[in-house]
Amino acid sequence: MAKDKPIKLKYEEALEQIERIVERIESGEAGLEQTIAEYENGVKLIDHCRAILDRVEKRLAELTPDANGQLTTDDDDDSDA
Amino acid sequence: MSRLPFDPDRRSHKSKTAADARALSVSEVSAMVKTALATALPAKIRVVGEVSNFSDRTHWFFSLKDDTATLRAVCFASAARRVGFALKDGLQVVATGRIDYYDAQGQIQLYVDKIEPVGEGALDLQFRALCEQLRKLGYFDPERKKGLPGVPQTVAVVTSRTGAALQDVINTANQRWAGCRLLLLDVHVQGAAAAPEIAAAIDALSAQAFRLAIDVIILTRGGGSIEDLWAFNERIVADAVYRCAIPIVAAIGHETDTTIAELVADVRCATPTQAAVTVVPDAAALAHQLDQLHRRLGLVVRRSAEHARHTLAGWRRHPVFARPDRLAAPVRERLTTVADRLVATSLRRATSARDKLDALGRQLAAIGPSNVLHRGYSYTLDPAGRVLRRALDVAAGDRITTVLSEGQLASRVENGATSTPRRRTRGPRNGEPGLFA
Repeated sequence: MAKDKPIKLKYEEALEQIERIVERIESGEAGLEQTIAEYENGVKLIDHCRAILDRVEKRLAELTPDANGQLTTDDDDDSDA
Repeated sequence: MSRLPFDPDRRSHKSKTAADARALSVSEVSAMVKTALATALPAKIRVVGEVSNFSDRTHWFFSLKDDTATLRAVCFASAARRVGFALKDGLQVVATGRIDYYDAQGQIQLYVDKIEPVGEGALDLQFRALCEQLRKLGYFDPERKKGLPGVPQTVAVVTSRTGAALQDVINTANQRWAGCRLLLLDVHVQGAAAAPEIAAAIDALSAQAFRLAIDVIILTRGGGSIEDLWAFNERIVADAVYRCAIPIVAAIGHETDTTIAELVADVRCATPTQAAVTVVPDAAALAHQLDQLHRRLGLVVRRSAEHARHTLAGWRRHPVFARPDRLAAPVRERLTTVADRLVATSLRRATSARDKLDALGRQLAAIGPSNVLHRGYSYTLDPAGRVLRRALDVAAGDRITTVLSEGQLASRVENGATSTPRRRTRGPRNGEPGLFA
């Protein structure tokens, strides 16, 4: 579950985590081995944020209410929020 | 021939002559018209009509018309200044003034003192009243306005599918961040159906925002008259905006239009473009920020590694690791010192012991009989081998032995004890050591 989290993170949450990683390394709070692990995690988070920025939305999707008033998109593509 | 209301032959000779005799001047007729108007019409009238041919040359010159008739009107600058809105062709107004005949041009005109908008006036009052009501209820309070997400996951746009406002939002959003997800909720933005539709749309978005990952709404439409924008002043829309669980950015009409929906919304923008700029972040700026963060991350890791390396090198240089033998040296030194001291002490002790022994020996020798004998003294033993102190203890003829410093002499007593003993020498008392210990 811990591995899946970065993929689902919102941009701002990811950013916050990266900042904290930098702080932890800078303060010396993390030991040498942990520093390397934190660095790798940080790079993964940065890449995740870059991917969010670099994506291109194909077209404007429209929300329409179904019979129950539930709004649904017409592109059926809300798997990656 | 139709019957005339009068008999032309019976007309008075006089009037016919009068008519032929004198023609009225234009000014005279004008004066008659003026008088007739003054008599027939009230001093002040209110006229409702549509403005046309409006020209603003300090004084306002325009016409008021309806389906069948037109009336020229003039509003002098002094009165025009007091009118609280701009006059333009097509506007329905109520003009208050007096009808008069402008003789120089032969025009009947309405000289206007006051102009009020028709319909708009009523709406204006309604707007002000609802504003006050909602203000008192706290709908406009700055404290209740929500902040916007820095990087929204999805933006819902509530507007008309066919409007220019939507296009403005899309284009601006694409320019700033092509990856920003926009979802359109198409609604009527004017007319009777608009207000309930808009309210329902906002309610639905508010309820389902989490499921749809929507974190901000843009509510927008393009410019129009106050009647066109009226849906956004309706209470039902104000309530929906007030209740909404996620932030709403509203941009209704032109820059100068302010609707109640905008006052209740969390952010008001002058135009749809501005709304998009406010909601959608600049991806280039964010990317730059990420680059800097990446650099900083690399930097702190490198520094951290450097620091560790430096510390390690420092330890390696430390004598404990560089010259471990030196650790033993002082210990060895101490051991040597201690050993030496031990030996020295032992020797001293031994020497002093021997010295003591020697000293004691000498002491012993000093008080021992051999020294005394060496000085010339001797001791005598009776026949039983006991030391002889008194002459009386032996009789004549006893065999006695005399021990000298060197050697012994065996003797026989010739005469017994003489009758005159020598002065008594002090003998050893009890416990005191004698000459012979």
